[in-house]
Amino acid sequence: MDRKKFFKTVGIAGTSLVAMSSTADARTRIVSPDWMGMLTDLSLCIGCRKCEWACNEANKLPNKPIQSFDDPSVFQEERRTHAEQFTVVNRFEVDDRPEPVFVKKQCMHCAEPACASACLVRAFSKTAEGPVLYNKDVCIGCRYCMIACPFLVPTYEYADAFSPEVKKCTMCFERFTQQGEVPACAGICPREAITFGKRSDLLKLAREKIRSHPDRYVDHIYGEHEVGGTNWLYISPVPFEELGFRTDLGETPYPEMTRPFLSAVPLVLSIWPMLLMGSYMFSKKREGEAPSTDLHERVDS
Amino acid sequence: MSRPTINTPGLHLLGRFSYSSLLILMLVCPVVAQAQEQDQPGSSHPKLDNQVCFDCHQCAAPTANDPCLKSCLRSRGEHGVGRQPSAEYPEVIIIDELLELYKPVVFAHKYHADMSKMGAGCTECHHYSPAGNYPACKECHDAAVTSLDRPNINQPGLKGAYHQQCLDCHIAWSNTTGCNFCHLSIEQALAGKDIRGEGDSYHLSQPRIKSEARYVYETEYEDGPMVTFYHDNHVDMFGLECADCHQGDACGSCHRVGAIARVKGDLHEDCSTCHDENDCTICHRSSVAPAFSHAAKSGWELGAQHENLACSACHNTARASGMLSSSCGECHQSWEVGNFDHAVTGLALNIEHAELDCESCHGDPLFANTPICSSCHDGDVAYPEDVPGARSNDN
Repeated sequence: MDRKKFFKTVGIAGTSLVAMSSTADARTRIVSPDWMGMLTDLSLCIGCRKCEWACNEANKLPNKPIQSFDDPSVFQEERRTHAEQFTVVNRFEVDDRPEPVFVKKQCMHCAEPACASACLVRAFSKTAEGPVLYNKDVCIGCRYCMIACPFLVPTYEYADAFSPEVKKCTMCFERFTQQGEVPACAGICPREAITFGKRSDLLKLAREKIRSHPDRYVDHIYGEHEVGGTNWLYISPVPFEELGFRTDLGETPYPEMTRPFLSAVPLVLSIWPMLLMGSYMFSKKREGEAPSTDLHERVDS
Repeated sequence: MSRPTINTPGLHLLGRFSYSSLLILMLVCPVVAQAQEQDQPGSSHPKLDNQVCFDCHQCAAPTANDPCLKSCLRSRGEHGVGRQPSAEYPEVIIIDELLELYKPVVFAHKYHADMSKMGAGCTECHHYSPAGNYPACKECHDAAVTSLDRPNINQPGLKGAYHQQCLDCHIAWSNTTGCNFCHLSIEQALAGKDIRGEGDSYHLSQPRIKSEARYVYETEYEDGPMVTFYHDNHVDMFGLECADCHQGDACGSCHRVGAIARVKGDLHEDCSTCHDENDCTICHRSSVAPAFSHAAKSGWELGAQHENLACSACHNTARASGMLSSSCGECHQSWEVGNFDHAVTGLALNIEHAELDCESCHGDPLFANTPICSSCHDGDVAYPEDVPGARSNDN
């Protein structure tokens, strides 16, 4: 086996090993039946924005009197979540529909979160209960999570010069694990457009609603499969692409897209230096065995 | 392969099943088994072999006429459309169970019940209720749902139930979702206003129905393609109720801006309730038909006093086609001196004439004809040159 052939074989073997490991991961992906989640029924939302108020209260964010949330002028432009507001409701006018559709936006709590995958220091983690949580103590402020998130959810406290954090919805993790209450938005929603429960139960509920009211819903549960599944689910009276939802995200979890590359990194970092160093030493050794002849040849000529 | 028919051993199997189910039922509820010796439960519930009676029924011996179904059943099919006589339901309900942020709601139940008669009746709101038994929302929907120990996430809590049921119609009607539309404002409450029994004022907030006076349809009937329908004639004059034609419509199909409520049933059938179906020319014309004109139909022009009346105000027959005599007294039987204000005719009588009997001047029972002055006066006085009072339009 010559040198060229050797490298070729090692390269192929290495690549196929990486590829095999990533497909094995995809097959064993687990969406836990015990995960808690939320189901937003967009056919019920009336855009009262009480969820925004309750979210601000629960998360101790800057808040206004509840009556001021009746002001519909905020709907004039589509809003995004930011460091001082973890959820926003947007209004969408849809053709052939007399009433607008309101869409509550917040962290989707992905089954396999892209933010956690992109984070260098594991500041994001998927909890056993379902929510994706952030640990400010380890965050280095690189904001890769903000770039990675397909839903543009994590936001940064740019205004805070000394200890800025990445901010997003926690699905009221402490509220439901310690205080025994449903997340603030679900608790206040007058029409119970937001339901809190086990993700598996919510999927059943969503399917039952779509089955029994085919005239009221499109046959699509957003978040059931998108980016590998999310813990926040939506059902809607109109197709999701008309409501600002991204329907081009595919069903592959985001971490899986980078996994073949990332899992090759240790391989490359450990094996390649060894190989290259070995081959260098090998050739160096050969060079050292016959330096005089070379020199002689050069001198002679 | 043809479909299996029931004259196969399957029937035998079916029989065995119902016997075994009967055994189970006898173990679970012996009283029912006794009562149903003539009427096997399997025959009325072929798919519910293993269903326990008390899952659905609250009495021991349900019958077809009195099934005594439980209130909060879901997904067991139709329980029948039901209406209750008005005396049996509450007029106004004060909803004050959930008072975290808003004041109580005065719910004009009577008006909503009246409206529901256009649609599915009481079950329009009291869904999943057996006919004749309409429990309050809170009997099925739990008020305490903000805690995690919620028994069933498929069933909304009380707050969700109220807002889902009420707003589905209110959004369709007027697209208003403002909280104070139903919830008493805090200012009103602070002013100590007694809200009970004020259902009437809430009724007025209902948006008015707008309809075209005339609809012209082009049909494929060659001899008379044009059908002209005067909606206002039918409603205002002929005295039809909305539900006479618009049945099974949701409230919002009429009560909202730009709503077009098409009559759903067969139009020929609906119209022939009053019109002769065999005479196509009543509706089908070659051009747009004129509106109903009493003068053209009967030769008697409705004056200012009569033109706004419904037909039935004078014509007692349902079809309003019965001829009336032209005598005013046929309708105005109670007119006497003292209870008739002559000024409505445009002529206010002076004192001398006000006390006379009608017949003194109006010898003819057709009061529109020229009154006779000569029975009292000499020939030098004559109507209309001389009048027994003052013309009100002179003032």
